[in-house]
Amino acid sequence: MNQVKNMNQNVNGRIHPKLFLLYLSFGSMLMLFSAFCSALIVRKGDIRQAWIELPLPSAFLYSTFIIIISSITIHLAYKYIETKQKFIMWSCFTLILSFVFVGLQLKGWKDLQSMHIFLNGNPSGSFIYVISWIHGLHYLGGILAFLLIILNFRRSTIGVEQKMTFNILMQYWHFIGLVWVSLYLFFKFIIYK
Amino acid sequence: MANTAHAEHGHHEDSFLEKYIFSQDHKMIARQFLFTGIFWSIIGAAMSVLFRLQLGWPNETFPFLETLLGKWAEGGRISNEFYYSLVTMHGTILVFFVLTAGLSGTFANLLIPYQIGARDMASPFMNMLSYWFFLLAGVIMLASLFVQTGAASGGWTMYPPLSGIRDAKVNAGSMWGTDLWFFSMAMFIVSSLLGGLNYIATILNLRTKGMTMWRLPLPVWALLFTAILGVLAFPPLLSAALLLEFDRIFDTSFYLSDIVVGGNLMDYKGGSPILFQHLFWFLGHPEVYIIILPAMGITSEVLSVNSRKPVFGYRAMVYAIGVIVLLGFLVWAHHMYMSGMNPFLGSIFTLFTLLIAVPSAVKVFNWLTTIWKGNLRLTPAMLFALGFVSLFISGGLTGIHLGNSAIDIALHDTYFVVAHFHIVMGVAAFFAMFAGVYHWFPKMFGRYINDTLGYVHFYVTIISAYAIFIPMHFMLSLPRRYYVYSNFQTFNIFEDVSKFISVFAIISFMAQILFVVNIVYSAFKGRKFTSENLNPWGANTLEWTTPAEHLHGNWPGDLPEVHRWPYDYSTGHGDSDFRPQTEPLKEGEEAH
Repeated sequence: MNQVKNMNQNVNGRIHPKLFLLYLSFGSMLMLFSAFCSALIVRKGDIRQAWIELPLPSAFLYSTFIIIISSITIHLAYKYIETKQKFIMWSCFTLILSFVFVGLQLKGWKDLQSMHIFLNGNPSGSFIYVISWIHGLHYLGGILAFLLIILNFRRSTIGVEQKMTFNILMQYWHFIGLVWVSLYLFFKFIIYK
Repeated sequence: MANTAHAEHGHHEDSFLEKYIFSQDHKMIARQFLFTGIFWSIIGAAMSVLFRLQLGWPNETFPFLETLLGKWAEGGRISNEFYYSLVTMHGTILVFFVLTAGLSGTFANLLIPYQIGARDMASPFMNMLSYWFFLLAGVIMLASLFVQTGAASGGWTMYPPLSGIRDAKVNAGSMWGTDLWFFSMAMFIVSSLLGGLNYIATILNLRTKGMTMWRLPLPVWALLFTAILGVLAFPPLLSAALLLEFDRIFDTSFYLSDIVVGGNLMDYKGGSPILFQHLFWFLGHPEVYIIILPAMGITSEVLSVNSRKPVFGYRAMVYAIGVIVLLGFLVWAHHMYMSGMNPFLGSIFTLFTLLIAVPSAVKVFNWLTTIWKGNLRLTPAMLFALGFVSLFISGGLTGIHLGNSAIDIALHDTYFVVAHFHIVMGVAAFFAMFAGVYHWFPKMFGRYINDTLGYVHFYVTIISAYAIFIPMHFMLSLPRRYYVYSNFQTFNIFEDVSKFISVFAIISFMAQILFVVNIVYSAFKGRKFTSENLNPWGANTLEWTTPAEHLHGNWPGDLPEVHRWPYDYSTGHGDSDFRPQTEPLKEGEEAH
């Protein structure tokens, strides 16, 4: 069975199938978040139903900066993947930043509650919770993959396959960061002005 | 030779679990999808027989129903709640579990690696997961049939507010039945995404040497576009379902507002049920093409092989699929003409909807010209492919009426609509699926299917299909979804025709049982498909160059190299009327 899997790699020098699969999955994820955002736009535009304007917690702004920085650190980890110490250092930075991001998101949701904006209140607040939770789930998936990959690297030498695996993780990390930045800008400048 | 690194591919022995249960071999996964699809089609069709009994004889009782269904059919008559569960589950099962997963899952798995000359899918593991998520979705959906409060009964479209409130006072099926429906669909969407992403990556990345895009067989083109549709259209359905579950479980108000149940005003404020319809139909309409495009691809292949003629207008066929996909994303609101949309917006959706007639007509024209003056071999596969064309034309014509917002307002939610979509995307897709099973049966099971039973299956099915759905076109004053239409004097005129339809529904169901018996019998006792005749239909595509016995990796040595397009039939070169894709061009012969 493994023979078949190996035989499928890089036919005629085309892009690695797993990397290509990742790019394709970006399309699906984009459609998922686009659906949520378009639902938000349509719902806000429905003048027959009440819509309450609300402020965005500042924690979401800080988490946006953190996620951008973590994209830079994971890039540096990939750059130094063959230099063990630097790779570990930048990987640790990235993981720490990812935990900070999660913490800031939690604070953002807590701040919403302290402003009496609850999940089951007006849809204007419900959308923020649900969309940021769905993004959070994707982000947690990335953290989990990161931890598994790092653990796996401890047992093996860094070769072409390992580089490709980390490259796939890095591209996912960038993508999911970009999604959050886009969501924040969407919330801040288009929906909750 | 292509992929020479694979020359030493050894055929390692898989354990029973690896080979039959957790298989990562595309051929086995295709069979898993086929058998699971058959299981679901029997359940779904049996449900239609049950509610046709109610519709054919609305005032009569059938004691055996009480024995069979217990409290859901007390006194031998199915209850109104159970009736609505039956129609809901019939739609869900047939649309998603049979005609999406059963059709695409079977033929994408079988044909993509075979016809592009790949060892397997880009990720065999993901492919296996795709099946197991599908099976899990099925187990959950099956469980929903047995919960005490009954299966989901809000219609297969699950429109809120009916489906958005978890309260037995709304309807019994709105309790656990609906929750399980959503969990099942979430699993189903994961399965579809895993499968679709894999299909696209495989087709674009793993084609063998010489297999350019313009040499791909039409089923592969169709499956590629189907997968693209699926990976883009299913996520919005997931988002719609998630928001609805939040409304149901966490009392959010995405879709609900000012609802009164049992005289009590509920706590929902600020939601919009129309929002769900937009999100649902953004998938729901492309879903029609997710079903019909693989059917079109299979039909093109079977017609060409059995006409011994090249597919007419190969590139036009591909472009037509592309245009259908593009337009398929722009027409969702034609399902919502009655939702109170701005008439100007309705006219835009009418325009795009009617434009789909153009690529559809191109395809029909090309199928007819492909078989025109061909050397027709009326095998069961060919008959079903011809039946597909006939049904696609019959059902497509009424789409022109329903796509027009002005006419649709009059015809909305009548049996005219039921007739239209059943013919064009239900029965037609089934016919293509049957054509595919008959055509590729030797590759799937290593034996030939029984032709005599196949002919009986075809003639009974096509007669029944038209006997069921042609009369429905004339029931255009009868609203669909009525449990006892005979309560209204004006609808009593439809009693006889309803009986007629129900009788043929039962006959049709029996014919499908015969088909299943044929598959099982032939898979074990049919004439053997041997290495003496590896290409029984004289086809050009690569799957017929693999050995008779299944080999994980498909080809024992190097991958085949492709030199020509797949439809060189009766070209006049040499003594044979077909030229396999692996055959190099002769001197002076021009590539297509």
